[in-house]
Amino acid sequence: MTHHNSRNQTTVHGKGKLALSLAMFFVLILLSVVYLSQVNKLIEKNFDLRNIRLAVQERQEQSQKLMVAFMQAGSLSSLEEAAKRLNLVEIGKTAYLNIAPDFFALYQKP
Amino acid sequence: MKRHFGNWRFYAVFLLAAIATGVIIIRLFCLQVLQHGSYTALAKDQHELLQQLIPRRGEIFIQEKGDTWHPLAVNRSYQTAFLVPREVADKEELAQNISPLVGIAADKILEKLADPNDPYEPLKSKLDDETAQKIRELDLKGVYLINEGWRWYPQGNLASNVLGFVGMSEEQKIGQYGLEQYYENELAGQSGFLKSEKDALGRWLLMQDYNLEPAKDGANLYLTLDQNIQYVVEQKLKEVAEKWAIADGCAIVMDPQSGAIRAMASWPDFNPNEYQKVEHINDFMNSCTQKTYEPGSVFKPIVMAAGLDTGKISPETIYTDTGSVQISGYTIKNALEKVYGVSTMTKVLENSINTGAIFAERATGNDNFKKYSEAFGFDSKTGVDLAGEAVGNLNNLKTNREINFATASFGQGISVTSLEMASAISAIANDGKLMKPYLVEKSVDPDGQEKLTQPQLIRNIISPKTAGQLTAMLVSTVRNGYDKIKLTGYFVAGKTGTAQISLEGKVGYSDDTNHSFAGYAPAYNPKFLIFLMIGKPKGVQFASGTLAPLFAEIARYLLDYYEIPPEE
Repeated sequence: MTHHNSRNQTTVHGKGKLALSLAMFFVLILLSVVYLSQVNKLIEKNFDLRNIRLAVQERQEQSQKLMVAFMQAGSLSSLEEAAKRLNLVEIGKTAYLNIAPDFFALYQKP
Repeated sequence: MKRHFGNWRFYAVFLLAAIATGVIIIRLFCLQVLQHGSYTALAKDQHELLQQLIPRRGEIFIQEKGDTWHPLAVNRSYQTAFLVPREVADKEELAQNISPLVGIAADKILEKLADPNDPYEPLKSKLDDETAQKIRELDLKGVYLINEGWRWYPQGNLASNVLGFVGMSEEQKIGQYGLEQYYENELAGQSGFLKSEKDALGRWLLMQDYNLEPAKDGANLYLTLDQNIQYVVEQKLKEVAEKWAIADGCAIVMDPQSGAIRAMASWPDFNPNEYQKVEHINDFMNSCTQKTYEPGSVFKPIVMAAGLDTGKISPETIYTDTGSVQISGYTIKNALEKVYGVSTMTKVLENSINTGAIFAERATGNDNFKKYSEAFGFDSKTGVDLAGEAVGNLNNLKTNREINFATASFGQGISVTSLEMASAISAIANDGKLMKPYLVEKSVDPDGQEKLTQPQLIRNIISPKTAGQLTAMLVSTVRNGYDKIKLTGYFVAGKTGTAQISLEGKVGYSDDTNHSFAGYAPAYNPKFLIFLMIGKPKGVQFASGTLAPLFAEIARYLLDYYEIPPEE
């Protein structure tokens, strides 16, 4: 009886060990999967970041080209050429209006 | 015998093993101990990224009536082509293909490709997009394109002698001449660095730890120069330069009440985007601040200021001009040997009478004249924020020779810069207050912090009463002296100067002259001062013929631009 009990205890103890081992194995597997997926995500984000950086760089280049074109068009030498092309007339003598001192509303603020 | 043979083999094998082990240990010692440093560096180089972070250079802006700002110097990236000679298989073919695109002779390119172990040879920088695209399409092995930041001046030649440029010095980009040099520290910013791991292609591994010291960008500068005034003044100076074939020239427009410079044009100018193409280094010089010359009669208001302020003369003081003055064996005559007879001091300025200036100087006294000349700042830098400012020379006034004081009274035998002269006349316009001229109105740090430049009074030279009397004399000079200045309805003060140019390395004067003109308006509440100078004009004798009309044109433009209504 004593021997029988001892065998049963050993079996139960063995089963417990096996269950614990299996549990640890699956936990390890699970942790590995989680770790791999996290690393994978990190690498994926790394690539995303790189692509975004490239896209930003590309847009910066486009922006710079537009800025350069804008500044060239707005430079005074370009404006002078445009004025000549459009036959714009130079301003002549400026005439200033004389405001009568007694005309209060226009002469000064109340 | 057999056993003995076996022992021998054992020892031989043992010895060989021991030698091999020893060799390996020695080799490992060499690699790991003696050459530890170099291999560590090599390993680090393979996986460690240490990148210098280049700060963005501050940009420079020019104003339009103080409320709108336009870019004058900005940063942009260009494509730069470089060669890796060790990767090039057919050097001849590569040189022939790329030569017409980059504008470099094929044999010069072959010279760059001569060393088969050479890992890097710069080919051409600042390529335009079209050329870069053509090079890319050729897909040549050993030819690479990279982006490289360079300074770009969108207005081309505008204010080039004020700006300077960013050039290469000891393989570093650095500001040279003008504002770019003067404000190098503020504009350049401070470099940073990035230390991290890199992948096999040398790219930054973002998932690794890193050590980042960000670069500090340079400050932006906002100038006192007004874009429209600067452009008009440059165009007018260019017209005069071409008409009279001058050697050099300068035009300054400044606010006499603050010292703010609204335009500073120098001839010859250059395109800072192509500074390498400038043939003569003198073209980079700013004639307004880096050239000294004998000013001539434009200096006469200074002797009058000294005389009036000391009370030794008044505008109505009378003397009799006989056409010449004898001093220490020298005879000094008026221009064109004219004789004016009885004249007032006002007439002396109107007719620019040399003997009258000598009379005023003698009445004032040599010590007083020297003291006032120094107070007006002719023997010291104005302190303008530009690199390489020259300084005038009043050494002749330190000799106590009577003849030197006499010639100095009409601006010969002493030297000044145009900016010194402009500042001095500005002081007369500004109730006798000498202001420090300046070009940067404010600087803005990358964090948005503004640093405004406050107008700075250097000293009071003459009383407001003297300044008023002198202004009235200069108004009279413009009205009665120069028929080419027609600015009806405005009080305009001004004076010309035509100075002989001394012979280089010899005693005496050449036939060449320097012309100058200083004037301000409205005379009794001046909004602007104009100073003009041209060197060695051909086919014209006096500044009244070259610069008086130019002054009138610029003054007319400024009166309209600032919307200043007529006073009478």
